[in-house]
Amino acid sequence: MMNIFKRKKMITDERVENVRNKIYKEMYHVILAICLVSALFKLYKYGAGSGELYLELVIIVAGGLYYLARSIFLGVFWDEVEMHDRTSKTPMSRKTIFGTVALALIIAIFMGVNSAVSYADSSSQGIWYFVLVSFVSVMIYLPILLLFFGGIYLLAKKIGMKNSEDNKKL
Amino acid sequence: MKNIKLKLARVEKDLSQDELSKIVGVSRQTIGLIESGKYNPSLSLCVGICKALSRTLDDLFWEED
Repeated sequence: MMNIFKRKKMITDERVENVRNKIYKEMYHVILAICLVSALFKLYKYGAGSGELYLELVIIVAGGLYYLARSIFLGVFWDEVEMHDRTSKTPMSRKTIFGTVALALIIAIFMGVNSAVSYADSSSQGIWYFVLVSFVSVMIYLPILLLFFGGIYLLAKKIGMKNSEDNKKL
Repeated sequence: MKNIKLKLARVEKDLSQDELSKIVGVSRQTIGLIESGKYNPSLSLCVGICKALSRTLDDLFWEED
């Protein structure tokens, strides 16, 4: 009688499962490619800033964020950082900071150039706009990005350390 | 590299690939691919195969140089 309620343990073939995971991975790439093609098509047809690209952006960004969150909480992210630091001269922590600063500078320069080209009437005004907007952009984006990427790094580290502590107990 | 030891042990036990795969709980192709050296099995699968053939890991999966 109890046998009805006991679920029979599913027999899984690890090779089949591995191959299936490989197919899932490829499937994700296919989906991303379709998204990209669709985004480019819409960009060509409707132009930038028409709000037609939201769905594609959500699909791409949400997929990336899901991977990031899962890899952090399963500890794989930190594993990769540790393996990277084993062989690389520049540790990942420094690379994260440099990368974040570089990204903030790129965004700031882009904003500065954009406002100088779009709104300035003379070249001296253009330079002034560029300097002003770039400076303000750095002030805004650098702390936000540092908080975001630094937060990811520290959270991953915390979880990674916790995992290795658990292993020591065993 | 082909795993001849596994194949011999299986034949000695008078099992076909299909019968062994049923005992271990994997597909027939997986056993075939392990024997032909085209699939690298996990340790737990190796242990399962060894138990099914009443052998040790050394007997079936250790390669002498």
